[in-house]
Amino acid sequence: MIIAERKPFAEIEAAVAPYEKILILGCGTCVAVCLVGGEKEVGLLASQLKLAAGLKGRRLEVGEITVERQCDLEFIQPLCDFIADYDCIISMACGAGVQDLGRLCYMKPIFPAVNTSFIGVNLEAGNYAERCLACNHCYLGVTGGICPVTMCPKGLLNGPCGGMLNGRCEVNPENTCAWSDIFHRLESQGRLEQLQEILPLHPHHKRTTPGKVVHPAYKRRYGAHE
Amino acid sequence: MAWVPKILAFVCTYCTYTAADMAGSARMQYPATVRIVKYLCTGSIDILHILKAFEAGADGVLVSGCEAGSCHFLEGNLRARERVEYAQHLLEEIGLGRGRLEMYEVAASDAPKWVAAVKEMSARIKELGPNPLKGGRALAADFPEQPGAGMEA
Amino acid sequence: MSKLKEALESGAFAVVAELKPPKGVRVEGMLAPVAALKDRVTAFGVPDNEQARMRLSALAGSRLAQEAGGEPLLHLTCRDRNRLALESELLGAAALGIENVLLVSGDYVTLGDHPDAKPVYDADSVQLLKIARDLAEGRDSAGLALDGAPNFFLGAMVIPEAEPLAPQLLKFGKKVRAGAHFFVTPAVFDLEKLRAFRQHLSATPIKLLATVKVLSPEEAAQADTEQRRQVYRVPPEFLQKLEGLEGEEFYRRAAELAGRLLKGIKAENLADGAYLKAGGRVDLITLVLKAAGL
Repeated sequence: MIIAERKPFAEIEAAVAPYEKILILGCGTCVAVCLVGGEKEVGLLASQLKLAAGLKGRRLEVGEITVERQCDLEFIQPLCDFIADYDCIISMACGAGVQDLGRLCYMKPIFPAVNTSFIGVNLEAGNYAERCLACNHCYLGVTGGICPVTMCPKGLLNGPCGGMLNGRCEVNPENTCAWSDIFHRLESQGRLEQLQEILPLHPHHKRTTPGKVVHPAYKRRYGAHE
Repeated sequence: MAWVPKILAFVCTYCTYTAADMAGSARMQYPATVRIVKYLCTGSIDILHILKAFEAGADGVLVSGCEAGSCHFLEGNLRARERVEYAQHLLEEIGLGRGRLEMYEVAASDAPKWVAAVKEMSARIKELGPNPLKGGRALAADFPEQPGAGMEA
Repeated sequence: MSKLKEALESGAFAVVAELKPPKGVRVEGMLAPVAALKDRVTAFGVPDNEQARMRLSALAGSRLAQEAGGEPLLHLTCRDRNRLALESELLGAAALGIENVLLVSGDYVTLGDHPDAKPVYDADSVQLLKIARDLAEGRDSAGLALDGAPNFFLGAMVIPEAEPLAPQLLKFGKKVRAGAHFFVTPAVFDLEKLRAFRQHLSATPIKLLATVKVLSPEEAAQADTEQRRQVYRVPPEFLQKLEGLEGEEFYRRAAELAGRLLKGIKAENLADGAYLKAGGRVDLITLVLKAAGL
């Protein structure tokens, strides 16, 4: 899922400084799971904004709504009725949600409350780790299930590099070397010959942004060219 | 008439409330600054409750639960500790500072420790001054303003 | 043919001395060893933004060394260029008459002096070797034919003291298959480890240059602490011999020790040549060569 971190309060406060009627929009999916943008966090931010404004002698009107997720039009469409009452929106969704919202309410200034960090896993409550860079050319089948693009900071496809020390990574010694891990994983599965193959140059064109995917079953509906 | 701090005390039933009760029975004297809010366990305190307390004009918030390792619900007090620390960070972010929120650990039989906690918090809040946000929603019209009585120097 | 290639293929003990490109455009210091030592040393290594610290371009440095009468060994890292730039650089080097190239992954950007820079790594060192070999056969990495094919003597790194060693040996094999002609090790301080590593080199008639380094006082101090960025270990017995020394005294002793190591490497045939890292200083390189009996 997508992991995000809440922006420093000062940055959010500065962004909405010109406004008095602020709607905070939460998202109940990824950002709620990683505890930065769900209903609870909307409440906390609303309280912080009111307290901070009070300290400066201002009174704010802060609305709080949380939807299932902001990256699906069906969930944000009903919001159109509420938005008119506010001067601006703070969206606690990831970058995708903020932009989908913007497509819908393009006349209202929308400010992000989080920095979208990565695609990752929930190791345990409050502890999240990156796992995938969405390179659109998955190598997991030939590297024993460990991603060389993401877990190796250099993204080497034929590693390890000379910076491995005691099986640790030179970039962050708290991490093990991804290629050392890949080696051991394939070794334990009896598949070391896999590593004899020289992996060719990565096809970066597959990730020219902005990416777009039309499901094969829907190509006719959306007139997508073959 | 000197200003008397208004401190909300979020306490747990099994330890701190029991100690506070005992302090009352023993007629131990301490500042009449705290208004007790009784939780079953400090682990059920939501961070939002703490922020709302300040929105409502509380000068300070005192959280008190069982000693580490003795929580009646096993880990409630540990979670409360983490939440209090995060709440302190949120308060610092908005400019209200960490000092108005504090967590204490008071065992059920330790009435003196309860008294000490209240005295310490009251002294600290007296020094920090009233909540700059006074004038927000009133806490309650019947909050005791008792000049002198029970106030330790 | 490159002098380095000739020397290694003929069985002579090759010596490559590393130059120090400036962070700027004053190149006299960098080129001093060339004038002084071009008749005593086979080639001059020119690093490429070493340790991710921005320096004068290695290609320019190599050309300047060449014009000063020395034969360059150009380093090329995968860190700062995509495949277009890498191929372009290789063709440029060849057109300038530079044949010796050392292809390496390159230290990560956050370790250097431009930590916010974008790391590239479009190719890794194995893929880069293949790119260079394919260029030599007249094709670029997109499979398109070249107008004139370059000539290269390709080098790569191998880490004898890697832990764990098995993945490193696997990669070594890949580099050989991808087209590496010779290999360079990181700094050697313990001949026993080098001996142990040689056991693994039986089959391939691959040429090896052992790096011998003159430690600086800062590096010696760091060697005691957690050795984060170092791919070699400095044994405590070695550090003891440098204890209590400072400044130029320290450097002189470090150079003597390096020279003696080098003597041992040559005597035991542990390598086909040496790569000298002495901060690009003529005096230190000379000391090392003297202590090594070269």
